[in-house]
Amino acid sequence: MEEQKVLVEFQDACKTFNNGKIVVLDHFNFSFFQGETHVICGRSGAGKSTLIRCINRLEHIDSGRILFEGNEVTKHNIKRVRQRIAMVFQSFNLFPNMTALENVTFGPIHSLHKSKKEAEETGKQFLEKVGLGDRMSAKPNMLSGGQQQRVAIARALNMFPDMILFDEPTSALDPEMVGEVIDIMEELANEKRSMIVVTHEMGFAREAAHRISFLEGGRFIETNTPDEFFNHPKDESVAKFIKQIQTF
Amino acid sequence: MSLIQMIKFMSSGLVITAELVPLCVLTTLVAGLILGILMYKKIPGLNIILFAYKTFMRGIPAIVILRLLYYNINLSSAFFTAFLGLSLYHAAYVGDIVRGCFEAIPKGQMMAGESLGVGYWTIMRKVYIPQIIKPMVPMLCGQYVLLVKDTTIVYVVGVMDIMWMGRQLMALTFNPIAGYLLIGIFYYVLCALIELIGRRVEKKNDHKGPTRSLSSYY
Repeated sequence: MEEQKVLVEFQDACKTFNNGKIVVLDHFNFSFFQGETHVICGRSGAGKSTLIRCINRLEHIDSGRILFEGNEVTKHNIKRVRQRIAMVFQSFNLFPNMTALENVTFGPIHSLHKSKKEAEETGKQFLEKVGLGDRMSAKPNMLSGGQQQRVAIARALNMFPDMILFDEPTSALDPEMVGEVIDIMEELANEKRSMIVVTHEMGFAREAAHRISFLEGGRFIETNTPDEFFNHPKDESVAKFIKQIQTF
Repeated sequence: MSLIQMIKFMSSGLVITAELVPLCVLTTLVAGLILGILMYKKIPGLNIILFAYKTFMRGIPAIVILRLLYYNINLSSAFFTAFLGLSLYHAAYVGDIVRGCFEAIPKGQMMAGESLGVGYWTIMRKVYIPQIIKPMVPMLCGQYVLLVKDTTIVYVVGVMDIMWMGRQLMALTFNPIAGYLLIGIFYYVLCALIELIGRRVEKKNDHKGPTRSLSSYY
């Protein structure tokens, strides 16, 4: 890593469900750096999605603190934090009553209070960047899954965020559409954008990630570079997980 | 008594019913929208009150509400008692229709809007409400047709509506068939008008919201 500026920091964060029966974060301490692509993997139900949702307060932690650029994320400053941390969801979550371009400009107009003209100008650029320059006036139900997810990525990019959270962006896609989304994510990683990616796409993790973490029991039991993570895992659970995914 | 004379005799009642219906429709629409949003938000405490109101209104006949208002609350006029009673009664139904339509929208859309830093009410106004109009209109039409028909009972609180005047006419002419036929035609026209407006609104909002599946485009 060239830069080591901490963007998001968890300090002793705890998060449980079902009155403490399900532990998602157990006195979790971790720092995510600016400009890094950080892949989080783990078994289903480990709490990967919840972890990244805690960053922009779509889920609330029970105790501890989450800092963004050194400032605690609270309900008072959450709007400002959300303006700077964009999110791409597993099920796209596009607004079906709006066209692709309207989806992309919704945030800049109603959150950043940019003019429609300005938002559309940059929105068109990002839609072109994700290869959808010719589908700007299409509504989500006229787009394929892969195209919808690319619109969702353009929507995130048009906020000019400091960080993008990806919550299993390819899980709801047909196998032939995964590639088109992964290609864009790899391009973003190469641009040194700060990204936290929850994914099962180990190919992407191997190629594009700067660090990979494995979440289990409410903590990262291993954090390593892709090469070390896949070839020399220190933890037995991680080794078992890698063996399992390599079998498929 | 000729047909023209009969219509003239009933005209004052006709005007009162024609005034009562749009007033109740507008009030229940606004109140129902607010109730629907509040019920959808599930605000602790308020949610229990709204649930009690909804089940109470839906559980008893409109005539009982009107009678309860008439005998227990000394309202200024019979017309206002009828207006308030019917509005309270039907707002509970409209509120539940609105809530149901909101519930049908995937929660992820609210999450996506919030993750962009957009406020709750802006998401409601720009994302949710445009999407619920189309599915809501047929249900609202059905509800408003019922509201129109419920205005036939407002004479029990002393409103001299078309039903009241019809009964007076029947007492004068000893001709219930003509009286009821005239009342029936008036209500038929009123209900048909509501259906027509509903269809127009539905057509106007045809482009909003997901209307066709992806497969229909290929």
